[in-house]
Order: sequence, then C-alpha cells, then structure tokens
Amino acid sequence: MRVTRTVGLVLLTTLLFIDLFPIYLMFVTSLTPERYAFFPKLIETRPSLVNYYEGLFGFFGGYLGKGAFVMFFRNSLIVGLGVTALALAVSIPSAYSLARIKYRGSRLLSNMVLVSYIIPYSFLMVPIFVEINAYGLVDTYLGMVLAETAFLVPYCIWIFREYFASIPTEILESARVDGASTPRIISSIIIPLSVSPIVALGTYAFVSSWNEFLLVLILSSSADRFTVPLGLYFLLGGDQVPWGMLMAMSLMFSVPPIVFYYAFQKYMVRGIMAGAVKG
Amino acid sequence: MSSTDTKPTSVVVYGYALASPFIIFLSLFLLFPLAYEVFISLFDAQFQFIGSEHLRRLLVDPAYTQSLTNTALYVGMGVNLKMMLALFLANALNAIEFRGKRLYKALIMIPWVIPIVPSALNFRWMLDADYGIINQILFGLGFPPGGWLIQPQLAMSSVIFIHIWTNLPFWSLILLSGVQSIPVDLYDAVRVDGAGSWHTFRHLTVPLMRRLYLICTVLSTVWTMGDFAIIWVLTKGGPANATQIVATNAYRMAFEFGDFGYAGSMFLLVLPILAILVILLLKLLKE
Repeated sequence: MRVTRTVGLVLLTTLLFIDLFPIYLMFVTSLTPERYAFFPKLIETRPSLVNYYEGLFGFFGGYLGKGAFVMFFRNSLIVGLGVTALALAVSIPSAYSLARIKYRGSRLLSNMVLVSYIIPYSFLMVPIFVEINAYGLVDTYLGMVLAETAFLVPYCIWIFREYFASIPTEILESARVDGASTPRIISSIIIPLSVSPIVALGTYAFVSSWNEFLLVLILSSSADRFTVPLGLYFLLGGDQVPWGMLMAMSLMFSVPPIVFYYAFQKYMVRGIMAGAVKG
Repeated sequence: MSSTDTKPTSVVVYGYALASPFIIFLSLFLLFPLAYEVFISLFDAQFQFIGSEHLRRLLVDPAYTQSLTNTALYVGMGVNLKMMLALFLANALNAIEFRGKRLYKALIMIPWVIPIVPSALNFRWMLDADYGIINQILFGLGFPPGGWLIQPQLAMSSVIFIHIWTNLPFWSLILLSGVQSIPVDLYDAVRVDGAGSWHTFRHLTVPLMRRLYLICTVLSTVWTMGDFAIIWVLTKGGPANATQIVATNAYRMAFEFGDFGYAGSMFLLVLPILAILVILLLKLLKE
C-alpha cells in the first residue's frame, strides 16, 4: 500500500513538472531583453518588459505597420463578441424547441445536433471556404463569425436542451394559461431562469472563438483581419523569429481563456460527456 | 418532457419555427458542405468534369498514402497513449490522498486551457535544433542533441507528445468524474475481502469504467482525426512529409496549389471511417 502510494506520488509530481515546465519557459522567454537569435535561459537575470511593449506598440515594418498586436487583439475581441451573441441567439430558441415541444422530426434534429457536434470541421474546410467566398465574405468579420458560430451552436444547444428540459412544466403551463405566447415564455421565463448556463455557454463560445486558428486561416487574407493566433503564426514566417515578443504576446493572449476557465470550471468540461459519465 | 403547445398543427409549426436558426446553420455549414465535397471531387482544377479520376489518383499518390499512414500513426498512438495516461491519472487522483490536491487538479489543467497556437509556438522554440532549451539541457548533461522537429523519425514522436501534453488534462478530468461515480461502498467491500490496489483496479475499476473509456477513446479518435493547428504550426507536415496528415495535406492542395477538387476528395476517402466511428459513438451513448 505504502509503496503504491509513493510510486503514485512520484508519477503525479513528474506529470505536474512536465505540464508546467513549458509554461514557465514561456514566461522566462517573454522577459528576455534580446530580440533575435538568443540562447534561452532557465532563469532570466536581466528581466525586461521590452517584448510586451514592442509587441503592442512597436513598428513592424511594411506589411504590418505600427501597433500590429493592438489590431489583432481588437479583431479577436470583435469576432469573439460577435460569435458569442450569435451563438446564444441561435441556440436558445432551437434548444427550447428540442426540449419542450414534441413534433415529427424533433428526434432526428436532436441526433443531428449530436452529429454536428462530433464531426471535426477541418474535414469541411474546402466547401466552407468556397461557400464564404461565394457570399463575398472572405476577409470580413461576418464571414468568420458565421463559420465559427456554426460549429459552436451544436454544443450550446446540447447543454441548453438538457437545462430547459429540467425546468418544471407547471411554471410554463401557468404562463400559458395566462395567455403568454411561446416567444414571450422564452423571453420572460426561460431566459431569466437560465442565467448561469447562458453566462457559461457565452463564455465557452467566446473562448472557442478566441482560440480558433483554422477557420481564420482560410477565411482571412489580409493582416487587418487577422486575429491574434494568425498574427502570431504570421510572425513565425519571417527570416528571423522574434521569440521573446511572440511569447510575450502568447502569454497576454492566454490570459482571458485562463481566467474564464477557472471562473466557470464546472461548466467547461461537460457536454455530451455529462450523459456518458452518469450512465 | 411534456409539450406546452396543444394543437397538433401549431405544435409542428412552432417546433420548426423555433428550431429554424439551427436548421439554417446545419444546412449551410454541414449538409451543404458535405454534398459539395462530393460534388467538387468530381472536377479537376480547371473545373472540367473528371468523374472518379481523383479517387483513382489518390490511391497511387505516394504523398497521400503516406498522409494516411501518418494519420493512423498520429491518431492511434496519440489517442491510446493519452487515454491510458488519463486513466492512470484519474485513478491516482481518486485513490491517493495528499495535501494540496485541489490545487494540483487546478494546475494540471493549464496545458488544456492555454490556446493551441501559443502552446505550439512555445514547443517549436523549446525544441529548436540550434537554440532550443531542450537541446541545451541535453548538451549540458552530456547527451547528444536531437533534431526534434527536423529529423523525420523524431518529428512524429514530438508532434504526438505535444498532442498528448495539450489534451491529457481534459480526458483525465472526464475519466476522473467517471471513477468518482463508482460507489465508495464497492471499494470498501473489495478491500474487506483483502484485495490489493492492483486487484481493485483490475476487478472493480476496469469493468465499471469500460463503457466510458470506450466512449472517450472513440470520441477522441474522431476529434484527433480533425487535428490541424498543432501540426501546421509545429512542422507544416514536414520534414519531407514525415508528419503530413490528411488535413494538412489537403490544406496544402487546396490553399497552396489551388486544386479544390483533389483536396476535397482527400477528405472524402476518409469520410467512411469517420462515419462508422460517429455511428458507433451514437450507439454507445444511447446504450
């Protein structure tokens, strides 16, 4: 028993070290005063914030100009907020329909929600590009928002559906007797009762959009529409890679997901697994 | 679940009307793209109809067949190693009591919480053959440095490692909630019978966790088949196609060489495997 415990603790410690060492190095690299071609250290003896300043306000030359990352962060924020709003607007009524109304085809629709949640959208990158291009929406915020929303909606519907189905029928029936229409029931009863899943799924949608790489890669063609991941990736392509600055921007970029994750932890790791775990 | 609307026709109309935003997105971004992928695979880069010519070409295209074996290797190794580690981690966290366990559980999630592009960039810098810290440390300890991302034999292992590093926390947490749902009485009963921890694991945890483990493995297989960003940022499928998977290969065909039909057919050939896995998963979830 004691031997098992010791072995277990040693392995757990090793795993924690492997998990955190790269993050620590990211932080150290971001504090390096040199711009290019330096040997990374385990401890930075002359820490400097120059990479943070340069990344946000520095001059990047021709194609990117001044303050490139301020622009990338702004784009990430615009697309993220757009995706959040649209994903909630689409998934709340749809989830109400699937949770509270029984009609021919509702089971098929529920299955389609599950299938579209599971299928990896990278398999559809060619048709998605062709489609967004046909609408003239390549290199626009709207194009990215539409495509990203499409792949977040299934997860949101799935969670909302489960939640809406658990709202007691009597509450809805009494509103119905008072003559309230379905849209009214949704806006004045369902939504006020669902504040916590709305906040959690809104956050989930925002973070997913914030982290998205592939869809922005295929749907943006100019630097003024790049989100932060694309900006980081773009700078990797130069002759000399400014690693210190890339790591500084990477860390700043990672702050919102980290904060949101720890604030809404219990909602973040669920989804279809919630049902699977119970069984 | 009960319906709140009563009249049959209005029920159907209301049901579909409220679900219409989802139906529109489903049609535009799943059903239409799937149909279009089939359609476009029948045409060449100049949009001349060529029928099944692309599928025939794929079977003898060495870059494509290599991307198939690479995908199988990446997914097979990545998913299974990750799941075994996740099962170990979940069990260890459930069975061993130690101080700071809550903090430990919060800290090991960080690789999953950090966005994938920053993580991949960081590993690219750490594993750099000339400047990377890993080679510096190895050199300092008297070991030979490695071309982690530029040597074909090593690159695939590096990419698989980074896949596991990023995704292990998520699956550990899922499996942990599964292990925790096993009633404590059962553990006590087995322990009274004098079973050691290995025996408990083998005869209690394994049979009870089987279904969840299987669901997680299939779901993770499907998602890992769709991985793109990790490999694209780390190696772009190189060196010499050593880490080229179907998704990165098709991306290059479509967006670097402009052959959409051929790129679409690359996905089309893998789609049946994906479909089988999705059906299997739906069956498992409904059991």
